[in-house]
Amino acid sequence: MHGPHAMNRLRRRLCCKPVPAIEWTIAAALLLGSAPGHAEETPHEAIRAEYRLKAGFLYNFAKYVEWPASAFHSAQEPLRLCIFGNEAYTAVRDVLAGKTVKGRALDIVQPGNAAEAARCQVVFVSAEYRAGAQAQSMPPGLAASALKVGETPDFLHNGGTINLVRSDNRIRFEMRRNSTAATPPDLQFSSQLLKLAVLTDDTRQGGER
Amino acid sequence: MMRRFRDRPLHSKLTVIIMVTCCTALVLGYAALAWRYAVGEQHKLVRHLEIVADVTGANTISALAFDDAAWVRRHLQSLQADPLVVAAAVYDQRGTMFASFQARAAEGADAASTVRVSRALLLDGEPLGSIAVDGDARQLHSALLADALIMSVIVMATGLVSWALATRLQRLVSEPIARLARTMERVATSRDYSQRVEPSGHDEVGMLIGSFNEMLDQIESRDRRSRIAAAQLEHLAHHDALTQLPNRTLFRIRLQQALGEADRQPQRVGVMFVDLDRFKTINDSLGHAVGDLLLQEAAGRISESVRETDVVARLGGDEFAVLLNGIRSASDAARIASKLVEQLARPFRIAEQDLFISASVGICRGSESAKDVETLLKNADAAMYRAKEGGRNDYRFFSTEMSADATESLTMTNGLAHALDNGEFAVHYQPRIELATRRVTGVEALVRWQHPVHGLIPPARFIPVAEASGMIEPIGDWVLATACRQARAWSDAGLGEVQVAVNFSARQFRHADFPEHVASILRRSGLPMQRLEVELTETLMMADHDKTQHVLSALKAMGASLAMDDFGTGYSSLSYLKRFPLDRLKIDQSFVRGLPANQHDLQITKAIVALAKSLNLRLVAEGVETPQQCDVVQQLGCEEAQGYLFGAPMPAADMARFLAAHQCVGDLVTGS
Repeated sequence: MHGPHAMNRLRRRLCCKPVPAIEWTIAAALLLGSAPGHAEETPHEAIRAEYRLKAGFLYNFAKYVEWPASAFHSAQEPLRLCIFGNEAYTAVRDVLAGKTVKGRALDIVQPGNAAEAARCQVVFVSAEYRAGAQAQSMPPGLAASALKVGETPDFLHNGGTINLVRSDNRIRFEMRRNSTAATPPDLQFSSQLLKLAVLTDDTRQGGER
Repeated sequence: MMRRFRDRPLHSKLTVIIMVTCCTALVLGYAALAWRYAVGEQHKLVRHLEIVADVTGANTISALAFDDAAWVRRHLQSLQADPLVVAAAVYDQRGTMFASFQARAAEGADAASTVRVSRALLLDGEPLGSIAVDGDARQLHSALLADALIMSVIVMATGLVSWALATRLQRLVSEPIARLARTMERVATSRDYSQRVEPSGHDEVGMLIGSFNEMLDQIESRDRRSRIAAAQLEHLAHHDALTQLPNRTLFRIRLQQALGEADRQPQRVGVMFVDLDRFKTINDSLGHAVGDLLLQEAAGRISESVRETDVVARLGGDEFAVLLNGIRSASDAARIASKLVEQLARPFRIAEQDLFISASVGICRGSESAKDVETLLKNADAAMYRAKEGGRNDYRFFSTEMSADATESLTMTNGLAHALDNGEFAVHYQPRIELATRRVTGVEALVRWQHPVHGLIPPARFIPVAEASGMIEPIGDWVLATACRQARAWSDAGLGEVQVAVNFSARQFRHADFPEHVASILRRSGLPMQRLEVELTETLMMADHDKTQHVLSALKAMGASLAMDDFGTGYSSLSYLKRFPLDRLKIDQSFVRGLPANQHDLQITKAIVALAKSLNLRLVAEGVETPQQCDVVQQLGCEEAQGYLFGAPMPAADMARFLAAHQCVGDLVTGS
């Protein structure tokens, strides 16, 4: 019940400018497609719709997180949102292109190497990427102050900061209860973010690592 | 409503005004305070709700951002603790409700009793939606309602207190006015202007009461003055100013009353008419002042002569009347009348001289045929005239045959107007004899009125009427012209050059051209002026000295001779005898009648003769009826005489025969 509504709201919120008619048609199709058991919904379209929602989460996380001054070279430097995974990148780019966060332009990139990855403030590691990468649970070269967001069950265990999960047809996000150990240094989370997070006890997992 | 109020009594108006003022002030004051309170409370509530909305919005915006409606709902539930919040809702950017909260105590709260505050929710400057918080204004409203209830109780209590006070205090104002109004009404209905309003203070009402009382003072005094004036007027209307006796009007009223009281015995009421003889002569000769004194004195004597119960009135001029009450017999009235005549015959001492008058009294007693005012007055008047004709200084009872005379006198004035045109007048002539020669030296022309109904009317009856009406002038002219023509005719017939003596009235002398007028009449008749003798009365001589002297001198200059008629009866001084160019004195017959026996008359006649001699006037004795009288007057020194002894007044034809018979002087001796 909440699913299509939530998607719709997010979509609307993400669009600063009036949405072109053609895009609304697509959104409506996504909305309909997201409904479970819908006849015309294809797996590919469902995945695309979910990424569009997750794009909104990524955008809002950026607003509730404070980076240290060292994370940027200048006050005008854009915020780099790095997407690992082709499908996710396409969806996020569609939704967030041209947006700003706290006065910074938002750069949506798909890093090709570790050097590029090192300059990312927000990182999204898609299930697709992890499925493909195999050897590594986390892309190489990421900065310590990068906000690492994932969507796989063991993402937090593998050093992720926030993990997006599906629950009751809605998207929720997990964070570790004892964040001090796992939180990237100098990265500050707003209490507003923390109070909404599903907190997990990751000591065991952290100990395993 | 307003009209009804206008008709309310003053005290009720004042009470209503005071109460309305009090309650209005109270209600307005309360309304202002209540409004201020309501606005303040509303503002406080809104402020509170704004804070709630701000805090809640800040807490829920992240949940909205991360699409966590459950969290928002949970958080909104915490507003349950705030009794002022009845509902809250978070809306997304599209205005669709995202999450809402409804307080348990919100049942019954409708739009009217809630206050809504909305806040936009912004994240990083980007609008995410809005939050709305509904506050509960019912508490505020119920507080206001409770206040209003308390206030209405206070207003009612105040109304009662102000009514109680107003009903008492308004008396301070309304009571004096009400008192004034009551008194005015009492005065208006009772017309008793002696009432006054009790004064109250010096305010406007006090001034009003003062003015009203002053007005009553004036009305009262004016009332008193007008009552006095009315009484004076009443007195004036019913009394004679000179003698203070009742006048004719009051006399008639009293007579009517007396007749009414006498009921079936009209004979118990009597009326006496009193006429003063010769009063007119005194009045004319000695002046009005003396005449007035005489009238007053006479009035006093009349009043003294009658009884206490009788009413004396002055009817006018020298006429008085007495109402006799309760007379038992004719002798009662006769006694009173004779006493009255006697009293008035006594000399009146006025202005240091004794004046003699007398009274003619007519008496009429009521009877079956004369029991009304008019008849009694008329009869008494007739009886009085009869007394006058009978020689004056006497009284007469009315007898039925007198009434015809009385009636006739009333018609005389009317008859006179036509008598001249109808040729009812005639001139009779009485011879005047020269005693020494017994020759006819002249004739006196005397007018007679042959009335077609009443027969011959003597001059004494109609001359006064003619004088009064002015008819005397044409009559006098006609007599003069007739007599002159007759004298001329006799001359032409060879009957001698007799002189014709004509009487003139004072009225005729008033005209300045009288001498010319006389001359023209004589010219027309062809009689020389020397043949005319103008006979004058003493009264005429006194009327206007200068004018009379002028007229007489002119007549004398034209050749006419002048004679003084009825000499000795008047009261004029003898000085005029010297002043006027008289030729003859005619001794009044009343002196001659007593001769020779009456010494008094003899002495008077002697005195007159002496006077005439000293003034070189010819003397004529009038009323010589006996040879003895003729002898006496001749011996005393009278040159001429007139009288029945020689010849009564006779028509012209008889006179012509008389003249013819006595052409010869010697033949004239009649009896001697």
